[in-house]
Amino acid sequence: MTWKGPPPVTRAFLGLAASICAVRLLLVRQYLLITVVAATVPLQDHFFPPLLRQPVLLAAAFFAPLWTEVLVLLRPTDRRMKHHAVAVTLSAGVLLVHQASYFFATWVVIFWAGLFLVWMAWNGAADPGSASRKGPLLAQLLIAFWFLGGAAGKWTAGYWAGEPFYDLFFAHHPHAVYALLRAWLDADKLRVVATWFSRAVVVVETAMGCVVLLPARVASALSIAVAVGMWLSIGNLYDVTWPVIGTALAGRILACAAPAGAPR
Amino acid sequence: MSLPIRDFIEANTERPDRLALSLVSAVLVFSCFIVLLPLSETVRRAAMERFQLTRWPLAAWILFQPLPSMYNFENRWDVVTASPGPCPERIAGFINHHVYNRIALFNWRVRFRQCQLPAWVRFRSTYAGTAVETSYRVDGGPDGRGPTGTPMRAP
Repeated sequence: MTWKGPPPVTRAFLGLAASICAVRLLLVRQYLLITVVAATVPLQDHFFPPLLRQPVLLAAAFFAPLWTEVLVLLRPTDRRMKHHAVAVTLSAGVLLVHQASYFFATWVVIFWAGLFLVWMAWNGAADPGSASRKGPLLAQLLIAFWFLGGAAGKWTAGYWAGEPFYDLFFAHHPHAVYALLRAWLDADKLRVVATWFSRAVVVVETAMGCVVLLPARVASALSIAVAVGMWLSIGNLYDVTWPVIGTALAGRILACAAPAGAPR
Repeated sequence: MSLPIRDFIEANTERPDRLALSLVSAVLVFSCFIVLLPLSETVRRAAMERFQLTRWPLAAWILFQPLPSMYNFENRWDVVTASPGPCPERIAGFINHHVYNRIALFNWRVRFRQCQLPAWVRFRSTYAGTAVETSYRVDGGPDGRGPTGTPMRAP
C-alpha cells in the first residue's frame, strides 16, 4: 500500500498508529522481561488486587494490539481502524492500572492518543470535511495537556535549581549524553549545566501548555521539534516522545486537508 | 490566519460532534486538577498520596491514572536494610514520579529479593510547601518467591 492514496483522516490515523506501533515494537524485549519477573518474583502489597498483578493480563494488554497494528498498517479499512483504536485504548488503560506497568508515562500518552484514534476512526472517517476543522484542535489540546501535566509538578525551587535532574540524569544516568558530560566537565560545571537544563525543561514544558492556541502548522512543527529535543536529550524517552510526534503529525495532516482558501 | 480553536468551535456549532466534545471535556476536567496543584493544599496532598499509594481507594486511583504527571514533585526515597548483607545498608536519592515503582518495577523487585530483608523504604514528596511521607516495610513474602510491601511508620 502507499500512504498517499488514502484520505487525510486515514493518513493521520496511520501516522499516529505507526508511531505507537514503533514504540511497542521497541518495548517488546522489556515487556517480556517485565512479564517474566512479574510471574517469577510476584510482589504482594496492600493496594493491587490479584487481577491487577496477573502476568497474563500484563502480557495480553501489551501484546494484543500488535495484531491489530499490523492489520491496520497493511490495509487500513474502516473496520480495522475502529478495532485498532479500541485495542490501543483498552490496552493502554489496562497497562495504566497494572501493578507492573502503571508508573510508565508511556501509557498515559498512548491512552489519550488511543482516544484520538477512536475519534478519527469513527467521527473523523465519517465526516472528513469536518475532521479537518476539528482534528487539529484535538491534537494540539492533547499535546498541551501532556506538557502542562509535566510542567505543573515542576514549578518548584528544587527543579529551578536543577537538583532532581542532576541526581536522576547528570550524576548517574548511563545515557551517552550524560556520560560524556561527566567525562568532559568538572563537578561544579556539571551542576551548572544541570541547573540550566532543568530550567529549560520547566520553561519549555510550561510554554508548550499554550500550544493549543497556535495555528496548526506552527503548533505541529513546534511540538515535533520539542519532542525530538526531549528524545535526543534523554534517549529512553522515545516511548513518550514518539506518540507526541505521531499526534502532532496527525494534527498537521488533518489541517493540511482543510478546504482551499483557509490558510493554517 | 485561521486558528484551530476557532475552527473547532465553528465546526461544532454547525454540527456538534459528541465524541470530540467528550474528549475535550475530559481533558479540561483533568487540566483543572493540574492547574489546582500550586493553588490547593488538598489537591497537592492527594496528588502526592496518589504516587505513594496511600489513602486512595482503588477505584478513584484508577480514575485518575490517565492524568499526565511526568516527573511531578521533588520525590526522594531512602532505603535502610536491617543488617549487613549483599546490598548497601542505605540508598537515597531522587525518584521521577510514581514513587512506589522503586518497589514494583521489575529490576527493583529482583534486587529486593537478592538483598537482606526486611528493608524500610521511605518515600518523601514535596511541592509548594506541602510534604507527604510514607514508609514501607519490604519483607521476603510468605512463600519466599517475591517481596511483600507493607505501608507502615518508619522504624
